[in-house]
Amino acid sequence: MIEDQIKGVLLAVILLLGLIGAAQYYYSHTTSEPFPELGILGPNQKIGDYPTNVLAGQNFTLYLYVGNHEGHVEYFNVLVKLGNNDSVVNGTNGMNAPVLATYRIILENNQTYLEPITLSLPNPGQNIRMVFELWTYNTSTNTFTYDYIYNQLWVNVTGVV
Amino acid sequence: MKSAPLLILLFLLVSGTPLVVFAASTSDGAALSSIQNAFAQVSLAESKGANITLQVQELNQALQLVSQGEAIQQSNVTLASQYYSQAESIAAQVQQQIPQSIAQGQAAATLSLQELSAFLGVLALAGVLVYLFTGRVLWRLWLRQHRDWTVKRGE
Repeated sequence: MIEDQIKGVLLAVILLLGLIGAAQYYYSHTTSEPFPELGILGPNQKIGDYPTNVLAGQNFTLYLYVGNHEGHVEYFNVLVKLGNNDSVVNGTNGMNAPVLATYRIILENNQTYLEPITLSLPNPGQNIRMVFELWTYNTSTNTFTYDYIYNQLWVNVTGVV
Repeated sequence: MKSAPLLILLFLLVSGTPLVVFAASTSDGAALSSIQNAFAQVSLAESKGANITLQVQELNQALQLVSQGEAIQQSNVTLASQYYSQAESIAAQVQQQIPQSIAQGQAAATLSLQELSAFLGVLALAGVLVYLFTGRVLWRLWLRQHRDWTVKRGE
């Protein structure tokens, strides 16, 4: 009968609306795949045009990009370390190399950060591995833990004549 | 000569002169530690539904002050120390805001749950009404639509 068919359609629409409302509420409180982002952009804010040869002690600019999609607020540290061909980035402690600079940023969920950073490499050298490591503050242990997320640039540093 | 500081201390104690203690932060470590503590509180507040946008902005401002202090640490210790102190006071200010933020967040979360409950309740009521009255309403509408129809005897 047409009456039952219409009744069925209306009830199905109501059920669907209820499911959509409940799902929206549930998913607004959860993050399916949490992840952070780290990116180093060139001086033109693009992936490219990275410096390959720099003068020792001379400033050069890059752009640091950090994104938080962890589902909650995060406190990030980006450590810039200087290594070489033999340096290894360890999954727990990062690269065992001196820290050139530290950038600290707190981001809410789905918030991103893009700012210019000015660096200067003190000593001349060939194939210097500049590693940018992303560390996250762990409120349970009150320490920064390494997420095994890093970017790297290879540069040659020449001395000033 | 050795007893001079002791004498001064004794004099201060006897005379009742208050000892002024400067609590200014002189290291970035202390400021960063305060920021970490404040961040832990902010994180907790967020998990309880608080809106932490303002606190995050303030803590980033504190982090910026620490970075500025570190940049001039070698050349101007006094100014660097001032930056660290400012950062610490911002972190302390953030910590003070936390209980209120949590209370507001919990109220907002309760309201949000109440809104969902009301929405689902209205839908359930609509379902019952549809189930009970669809036939009646449908045929009433049909009759209104066809009220000018006339019935003729069939052949």
